Amino acid sequence: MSETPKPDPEADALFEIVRLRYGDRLTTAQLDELRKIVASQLEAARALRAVALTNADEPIQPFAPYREESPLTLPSPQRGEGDAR
Amino acid sequence: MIFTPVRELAALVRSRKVSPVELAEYFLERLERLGPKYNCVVTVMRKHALTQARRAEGEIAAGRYRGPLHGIPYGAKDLLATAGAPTTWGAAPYKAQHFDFDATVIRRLEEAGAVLVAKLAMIELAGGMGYRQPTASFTGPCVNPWDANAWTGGSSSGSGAAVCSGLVPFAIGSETWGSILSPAGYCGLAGLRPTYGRVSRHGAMALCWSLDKLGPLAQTADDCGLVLDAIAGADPRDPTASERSYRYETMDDKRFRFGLIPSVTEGCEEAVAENFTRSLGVLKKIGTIEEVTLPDLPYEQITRTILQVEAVSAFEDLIGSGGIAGLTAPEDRYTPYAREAILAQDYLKAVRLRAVMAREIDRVLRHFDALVAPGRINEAPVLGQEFRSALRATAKDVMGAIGNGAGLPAVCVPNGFGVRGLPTSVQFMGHAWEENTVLAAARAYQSLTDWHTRHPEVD
Repeated sequence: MSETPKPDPEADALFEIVRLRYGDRLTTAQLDELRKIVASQLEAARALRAVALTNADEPIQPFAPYREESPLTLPSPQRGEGDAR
Repeated sequence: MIFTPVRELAALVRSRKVSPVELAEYFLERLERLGPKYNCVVTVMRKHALTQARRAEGEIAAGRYRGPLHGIPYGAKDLLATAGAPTTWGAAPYKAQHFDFDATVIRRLEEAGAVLVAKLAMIELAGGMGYRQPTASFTGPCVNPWDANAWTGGSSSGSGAAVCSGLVPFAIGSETWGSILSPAGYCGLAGLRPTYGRVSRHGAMALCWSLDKLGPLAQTADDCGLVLDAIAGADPRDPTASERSYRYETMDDKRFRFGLIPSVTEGCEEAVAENFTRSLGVLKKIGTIEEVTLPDLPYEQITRTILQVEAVSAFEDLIGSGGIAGLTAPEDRYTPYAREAILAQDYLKAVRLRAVMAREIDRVLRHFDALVAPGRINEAPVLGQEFRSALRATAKDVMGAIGNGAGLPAVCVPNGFGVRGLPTSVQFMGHAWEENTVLAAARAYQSLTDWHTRHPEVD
């Protein structure tokens, strides 16, 4: 007999976002699977939230101010004019 | 010529004992005859390859030798844009996609005189949608040349199979988390994941802007260095490509300081752990091994969260439109929707924690030339079965999480065989921008072992 998972209102709320946006595309089995994935994602998020950071802890910044005459700061054109998508 | 390392092929080409056209014809024939057996080729570039090979032959005859890749055939993972051939990203919705330019890596290899003979199969969208099985490609699963019932690993699956079966002397793959080291490890090859920013990503499919790296798979670590020398460097078309210069330099007779995470074999198959222990015995001949303690951080959650969010953002058009329904793996058709429930603040926490992780691992690596670990936790998965993956939190991969999250270089090389007769591997992960150091360690290891000289029966 499988153990009943403990109620998790945050997981339920996050799953509702997915269900509201995409529920019409999904089967019941797929929604059940997505509920498990959302719970797993939330578990990871809680591990991240558990680590304390300070105001000084910032991301390693990729951002650079942009000016057209400065080609080195151009965003990468990953797709070309010949993109057939 | 089959399984001959690039360095040896280069000597034959330079001395004109073998011509680039002969080499191209030889590998084109193998690609056309054996590519379907391993299901590893998307497009054979016969006309293009022979044009490049004739040019190389003429230049070498005229005394204009460009270097060790001149006249050497290679294959490219089919996420690199190439004018004149489809670039499918391994995915059915993009199988007719064409670009009118070459990726920077393709252009740099052309400048080095290398000959592009094939676009190679890959997992659809480089595995970023959360695939669980080797069949997740519109071309089907790549077959491991060591065992027809085994997979090659992914997502650079065709790059692994093609080098392993002697269809190309080297190939280019990409890694966001594991996609070079996995096929290299499962196929018994050398695979190099360069430092993030060492190689321009221009013209490569974007999966995760802050994690994607391009690098070689080859017969030896030395060959990986030769290839990196040709493809590394700044690129105005990719602002993340570093201005730091790179030249491949061997560090012969170097003594190494290796770091070892004590728990690194937890979750490994028994044979993998045994082979790794034997590898440590070999490494003691070329250096010291000390246990290291890593700070307590959620390494895998950091890198996984960044990957999951960036990947669905990069493909928001395909996901939002429902176009993922056209993907091959059933799970890829709907599981990406779940990632829209990852909160922005949690993603940014992962990005901020990545900076902490990068500083902490830099501090640890300051005392070592490389951390050593098994390249993979297991032998190659069986075809037709779901496999475990750190990307889905069904397997542990702290080295991969740190290495990819912090953008560090790593090379993996074969170190034995498992109970099913498939290769196992050892990896060396180093400080940022220290590819030459990890390559030197792998090369020194290969100079004391002969695992890289063993090959599957393929013809």
